[in-house]
Amino acid sequence: MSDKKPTPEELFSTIDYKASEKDWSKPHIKFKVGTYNHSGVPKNVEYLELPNARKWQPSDDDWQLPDNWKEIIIDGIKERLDKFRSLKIFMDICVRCGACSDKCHFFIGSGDPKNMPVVRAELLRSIYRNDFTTAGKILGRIAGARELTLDVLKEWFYYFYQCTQCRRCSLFCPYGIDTAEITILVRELLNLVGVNIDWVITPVANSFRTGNHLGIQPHGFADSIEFAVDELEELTGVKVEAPINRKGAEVLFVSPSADYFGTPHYYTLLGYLALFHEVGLDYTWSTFASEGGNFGSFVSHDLMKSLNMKIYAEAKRLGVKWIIGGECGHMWRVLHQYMDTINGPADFLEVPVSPITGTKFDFAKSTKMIHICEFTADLIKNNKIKLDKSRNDHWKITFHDSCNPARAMGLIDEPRFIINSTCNNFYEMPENTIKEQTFCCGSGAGLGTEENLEMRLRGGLPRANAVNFVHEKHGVNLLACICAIDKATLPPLMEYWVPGVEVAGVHEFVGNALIMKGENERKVDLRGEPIGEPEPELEEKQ
Amino acid sequence: MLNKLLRRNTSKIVERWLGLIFDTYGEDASDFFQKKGNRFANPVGSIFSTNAELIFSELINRNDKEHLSIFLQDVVKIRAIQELPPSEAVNFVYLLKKAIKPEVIDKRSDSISLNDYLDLQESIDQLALLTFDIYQEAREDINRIRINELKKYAAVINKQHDGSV
Repeated sequence: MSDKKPTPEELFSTIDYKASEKDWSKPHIKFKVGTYNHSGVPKNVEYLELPNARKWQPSDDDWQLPDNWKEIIIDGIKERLDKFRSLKIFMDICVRCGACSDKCHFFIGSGDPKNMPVVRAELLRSIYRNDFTTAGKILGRIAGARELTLDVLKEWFYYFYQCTQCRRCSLFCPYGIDTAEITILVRELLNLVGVNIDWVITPVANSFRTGNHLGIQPHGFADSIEFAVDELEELTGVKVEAPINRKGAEVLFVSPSADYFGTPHYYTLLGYLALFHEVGLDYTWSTFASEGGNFGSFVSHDLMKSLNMKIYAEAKRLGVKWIIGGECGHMWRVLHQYMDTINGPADFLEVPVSPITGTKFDFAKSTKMIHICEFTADLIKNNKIKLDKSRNDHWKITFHDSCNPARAMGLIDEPRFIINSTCNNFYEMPENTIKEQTFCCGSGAGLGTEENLEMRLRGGLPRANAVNFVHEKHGVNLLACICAIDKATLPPLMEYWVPGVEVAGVHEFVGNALIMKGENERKVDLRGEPIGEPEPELEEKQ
Repeated sequence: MLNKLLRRNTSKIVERWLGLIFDTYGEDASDFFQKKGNRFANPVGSIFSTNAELIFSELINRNDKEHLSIFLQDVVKIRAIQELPPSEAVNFVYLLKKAIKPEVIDKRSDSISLNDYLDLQESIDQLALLTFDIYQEAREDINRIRINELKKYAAVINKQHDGSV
């Protein structure tokens, strides 16, 4: 445990020039219960017109693949190499510098080398070399090539469904290789032979059918929103309007569906409703664009495109001028990185201009859609809403930058500005765990199921470890975030690693702090908990 | 006398113990976990290193069960979610015996009594039993959390069937 630095000679003497005796290229995956997701339900695979719908599970020996599965995959790679120049570049330019190797939360939690982003990508690259490069065809293994076998396919399933597409690794790649893109494409290839997971397939099928992940029908959606309106009135004394499918409204508001059926998401919904009422926003909800989430992006580019299009089709049908999106994660990656080329530009809409402040959101001139945090931060900056920060005094807050808003759209400052404007007690986690370097919740990209819980707890360890630090140092009792998957999966993560820390959306604080015209004296927050009273556990800590 | 020897060689023993623990993860993982540096970039390595020292010091000094439980907890919770069979998950405690052995053998002397040595072995066995309790608690936590997730999901589905969502 000495701090003395070794001399160069000492360091050289420790280099072992022998290659590892283990052969990474011949995998044999054991599927242990608790560490993988169940397969797609056949009726929903069929509904989406995806191939090879059948009853199977990853733990089965026989995956019931089509006889020519190998040909399908190799043709699939060829097609994608021709279609996506990025894939061709990503396959060729990695120099294995190792900058990404220790940046993945699954590797950090497990130490499994195939969770190093460079090695995970190598699982595909080795096949690419074997079938698409001259060196690989001639030199085979020496050139890092290997043949596609059933074991390789099973290995793909295991490791590419252990990637949450969070893109932390990409941040450190000097070549800008986006490993999440590689995951997206391998999942797309797996889907060509009917290898998929139900937590992705069923929500996508439901989104096609009724507009949202859970398959909630229009009347159910309307009931939920009306219920929230009534509850907000009970809490604040103010009856708000929440228009649904109102043609001619200025703004369409799209939020993740969990906001109206999940907890703690629901308190964020109450915050949105209170805010829109207070500033008199002319807006509407849509029963078909009743889902911000785009699980299609976890299956294929085609499904991603269709689900993104649904939002714009509704904007057109309702005749709105522009769109605000709620606290969602990957909806924003799809919007910022793909929308413009797959469905855009949305020329039938207008560049968003806040009717309250007059601010023109030029950065959204092509997509015509802005994040609710951008909308709210602008309101606060222009002093358009009155806030009483003390109403959030019972919370000691830290902020988890949700991967997609942080890394895919650079939404770093706005949520912090809102938290600091609505709360008195905010503490940052360590620098290398937040902002662009944020650690994933460990459950994104469709992995957030209970059957996969152990894997999620492992992948979420780096995030929880940083939360634990501010919990112990400052008595933090609330983890804020702006993603529906985070709100669903961080509570169990906290329950295991950092008991005593709750999870909330940023607009819950806005709803608590917002001084509404005609409101009753607020004695409880949006959760119905007494305002301003520190949690008992917190008092003990102090 | 044995205790004195152990105290004097604490850092050497802990380092050897950690090496043995990290080696249970295989070559590449072991290299990464043993990397010193930022505790947030390598939580497993950092927690194991910090807590192994605390556990060992507590064991040879006060040997207080409550303190040991606290120091063991973070390590065991990590081992409980790493796809290890229970025997391997708690095996790290027995590796301490292996880490201590060279010190005792190298400095074999009449002043180390057999009794002291057997007492130490007994303490480590007790530590292993404590570890197993904590491991079991962690596994129960995982199952409870899993059941709660299912219940939460079922409640939403029920609401949907009732027509209230």
